[in-house]
Amino acid sequence: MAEIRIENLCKTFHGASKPVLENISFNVDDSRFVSLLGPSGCGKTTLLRIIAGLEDQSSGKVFIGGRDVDGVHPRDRDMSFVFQNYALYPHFSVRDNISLGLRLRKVPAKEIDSRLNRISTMLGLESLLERKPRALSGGQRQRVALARALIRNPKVFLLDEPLSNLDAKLRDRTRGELKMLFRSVKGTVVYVTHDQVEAMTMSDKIVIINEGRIQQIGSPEEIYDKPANVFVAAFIGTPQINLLTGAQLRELGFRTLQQAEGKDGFICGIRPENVSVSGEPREGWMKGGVVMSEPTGAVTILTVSAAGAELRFSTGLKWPSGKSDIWFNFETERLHFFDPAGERRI
Amino acid sequence: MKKQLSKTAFYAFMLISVAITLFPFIWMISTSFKPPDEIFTKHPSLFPSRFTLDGYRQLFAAVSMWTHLFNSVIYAVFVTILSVLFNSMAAYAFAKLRFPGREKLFALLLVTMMVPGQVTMLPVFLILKSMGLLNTYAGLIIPGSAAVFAIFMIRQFMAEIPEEILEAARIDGLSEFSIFWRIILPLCRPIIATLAVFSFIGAWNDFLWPLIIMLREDKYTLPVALASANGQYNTDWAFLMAGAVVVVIPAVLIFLLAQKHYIKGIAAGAVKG
Ligand SMILES: Nc1ncnc2c1ncn2[C@@H]1O[C@H](COP(=O)(O)OP(=O)(O)O)[C@@H](O)[C@H]1O
Ligand SMILES: [Mg+2]
Repeated sequence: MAEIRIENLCKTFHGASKPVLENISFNVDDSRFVSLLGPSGCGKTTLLRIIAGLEDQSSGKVFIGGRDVDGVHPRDRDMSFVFQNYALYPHFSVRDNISLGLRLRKVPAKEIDSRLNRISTMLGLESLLERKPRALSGGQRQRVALARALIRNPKVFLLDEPLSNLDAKLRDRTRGELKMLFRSVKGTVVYVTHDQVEAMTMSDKIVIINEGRIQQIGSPEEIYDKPANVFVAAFIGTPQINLLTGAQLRELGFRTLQQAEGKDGFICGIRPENVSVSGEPREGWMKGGVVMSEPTGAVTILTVSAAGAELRFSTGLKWPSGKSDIWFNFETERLHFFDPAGERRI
Repeated sequence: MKKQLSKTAFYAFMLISVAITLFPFIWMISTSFKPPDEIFTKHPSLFPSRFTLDGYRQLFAAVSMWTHLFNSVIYAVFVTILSVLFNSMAAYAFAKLRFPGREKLFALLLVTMMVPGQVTMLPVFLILKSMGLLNTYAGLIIPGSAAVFAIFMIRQFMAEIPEEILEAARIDGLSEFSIFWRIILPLCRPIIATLAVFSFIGAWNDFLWPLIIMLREDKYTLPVALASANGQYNTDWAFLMAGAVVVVIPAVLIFLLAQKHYIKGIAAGAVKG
């Protein structure tokens, strides 16, 4: 039983004028995988470090397993932390790196050995145990850091962008492995990332943060299908969502319910994949000019200029290179509407 | 061809440099084994034709060698151990601990480096005298057991150790002192070995401070004892050179033993993860 509850957390660094975190509240249910997602510099690491007890909050509370951990030393919070740069002890062997925490907790040597064996087999580190970290590749170091986190069997795992130092291919593979791993040990995980794909694929729940404030909390589907504001809509999904004002829609000749109701002050978002395109004129469709087409294999990304706006469409059609004229239509039920300031979904 | 030539020139140059550097040492060693008539001759040879240990015999007869050797060893060893300990602890505080006024205090410390040692020697002497520490090992050792320059060097080295390593250790459950002892110190080994060699050789060769603080003859360190014995017996070169050899040998040994770490300490600026 180790749910995490964060209540009204604020943080202003000593001497800084602007708070890094403002009024952060969310909870992580027992054995759930929650991602903190946001652009670089938004305060994710700071938030994770406060949960770990490596940094003090200015105000607010952190509960781990129902216990207020204010003033509790990091080693007594029953959590493991995986640092972005792994922070392995350079002068210790892999074996000592992994087992130090257990030895300091006076776990019997036999027990340490058996756990070490299990973990190092699980992570494929058996043949590396006597090496020093400097003799390991990036991926191997990352697995040593994970092993060090796992071996103590903590209730809570805090991970700060553990995949960001891996090359793209390894990252893709490790994503799935990590998800399975933490599911199998039934750990409560808080996972910091700036990579939306990681957050979307791994999480039960995503907390999106921007400039120290929570933008939205929800499952990956909710966040994708019902973004709470323009920031979330634009941050999630590649290529980025197309954002158009009411006036631009009108110029395109697209009528919406909102406009039918006589309102014009709104922002409309349409994801690139929720657009139908055609090379032939169609009744009631809008017309534009293809500026660029980027085939990615499965789909082709089209950059289209229409009514003074630049739009991105993603289509399964093979678009003939050099063909300019395009006709397109939006899937009406997939449109997202936000207030003019872009702060609220309507 | 040209490359070959410049290489030859380079080696010739190095050889000459080494010869010039080593010559006084060889001369010193050779003189210490010469009988007097071979020293005071118009055509001195590099190597003694009649090898004698008279110089050493006189030395050990005139000076209570073991007493002074003991004093010197005490001085050098304790200064080395204490300065490694204190300098690295101070450096750790300045590099890794957060406390108010840290930067100002460190700046103040650096400023004191601009004051030459000779200026503070007298006040330090008076302070120690008032504490009753003249003619004591404590009085000899304590002033040398911390050095701003060493603190500065170690601090620079420690600053390169990522904060996250210390935090990982904290989460793993190491106490603050264990973090210093088991993580920080081993990672600083190159720089600490370098500074340890410096302070050992510095204390071993030190003349002025032991001369000032140790007034009784039985408390003289080796260099002081040799200098005072030399005055007493005129300048007996074999005797003097024998003394110099005895002083130099430990310094050279230490240097050779620590060479591996020493060079690393000078070359390395960073801790590689
Ligand atoms: N120790 C610190 N002192 C002052 N400012 C800090 C400190 N740590 C982080 N910050 C600032 O807090 C903000 C958030 O940083 P961080 O939590 O590391 O962001 P993220 O992990 O989302 O990239 C940044 O603007 C950063 O400069
Ligand atoms: Mg970060």
